[in-house]
Amino acid sequence: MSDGHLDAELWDHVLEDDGVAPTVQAHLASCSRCSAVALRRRRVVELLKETEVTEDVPQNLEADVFELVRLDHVAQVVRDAALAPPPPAHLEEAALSRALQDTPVAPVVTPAGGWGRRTGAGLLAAAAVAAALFAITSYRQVGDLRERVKELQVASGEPGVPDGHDMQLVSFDPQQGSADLELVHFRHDNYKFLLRTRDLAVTPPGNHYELWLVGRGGDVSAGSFRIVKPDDITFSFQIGVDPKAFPDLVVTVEKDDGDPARSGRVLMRGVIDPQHVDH
Amino acid sequence: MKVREIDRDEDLLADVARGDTNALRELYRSFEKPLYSLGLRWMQGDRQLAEELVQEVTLRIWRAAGTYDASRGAARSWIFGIARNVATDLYRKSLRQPVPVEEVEGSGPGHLDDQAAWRTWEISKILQDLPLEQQKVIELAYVCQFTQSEMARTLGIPLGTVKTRIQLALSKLEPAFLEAGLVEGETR
Ligand SMILES: [Zn+2]
Repeated sequence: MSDGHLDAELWDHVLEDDGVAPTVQAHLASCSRCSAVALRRRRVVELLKETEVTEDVPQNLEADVFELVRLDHVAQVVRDAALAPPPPAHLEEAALSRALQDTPVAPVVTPAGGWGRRTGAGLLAAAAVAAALFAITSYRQVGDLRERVKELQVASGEPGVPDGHDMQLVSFDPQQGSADLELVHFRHDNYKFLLRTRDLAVTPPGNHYELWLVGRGGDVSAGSFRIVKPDDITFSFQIGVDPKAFPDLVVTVEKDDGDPARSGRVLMRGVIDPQHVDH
Repeated sequence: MKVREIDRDEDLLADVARGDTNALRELYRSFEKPLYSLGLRWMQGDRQLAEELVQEVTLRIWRAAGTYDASRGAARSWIFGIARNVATDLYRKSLRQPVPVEEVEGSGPGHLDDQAAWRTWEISKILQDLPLEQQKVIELAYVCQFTQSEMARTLGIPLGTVKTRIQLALSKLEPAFLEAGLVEGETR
């Protein structure tokens, strides 16, 4: 009892059907404040009785949902590829020089795609793909999604048929977190890498991380990125060279000194399985 | 307790808008059960459709978090609005025939009235904030309608402990219900 009013006794009163203590009954008869509280508490209990909270959520649900979210990254890349004009079918050199430019890449995590820069027929086709991609979200089996994305690309008449393959990048230092890399292949020798990092160490000040393709022809930078806080982030890299010729992948820590050559410490290393790269 | 929780959802949405999947996961865990419960009612017990609802709503939150404007309402109302839209689409599709607009008006998918749906959503979100052992007693007592002695047996705890836990849980729920406008009165 506080300030002469009832508290715990009121819960007893609300919860017990039988035998209300005479003192409680007497107080309620004369105290409008406690009567109102009793009434409100009865309503709380009634509401709980009406509420149908489910027994159990299916165990796989969270994993399925987050697989869809992950694939949404891929959908975004497919949208971008479907929208982009096909790269010129010549000169690996041009592509090489483009790849060598130290272009920082943005995470592919913005919910909305960039639509503004396209025109004409491409836009129409893109709209078809976007509409279709939106529909895949209610697709029941997560495992069917990749197939579905392919079907949609074919159906929309767009050239880029994605052929994504998962690869594992091995983390050297367990303190540094880990990353997976997914290669998404479109026709016209158009490749993208999706690098998904998990709790990768924050990039030291004055440095950046850089993803390299290494082959007999040398090192080709796929692009640089920074980790500002340890997190689960996906970065997208456009690849202008044939990954078959540059099968080794390394992520290094490079100084922000403007030198485009690879000189930094290797953070992670992975290998592209040539079987995963088909033409 | 509740106020902090609401702010948390809004903070999380802001992080999701920046592409933070960990924030999305934390947010997801706060609404998975309430949304699935509601989905089952909207979809008249169809578990697969309820799962689809949770998937689609999460994706829409992921894509559209940047459009959420905190000055226009609480995060949980925004999520509820998305859920209701998705549920309407899914329910119509599941019927495989168009539903005349006038039939749908006033009631949500599966003819669950919107007020009831909103209450279910609010209450199950509030229940999620209780410590697990209190959640359990409330579910057993009111959802499963166990007697207190059945609960004592099921949980393997003395009858007195069951009573204490129920009271403790209820005294936390009361101000939360009050704040959410589910019951009327003054905060004590
Ligand atoms: Zn009183």
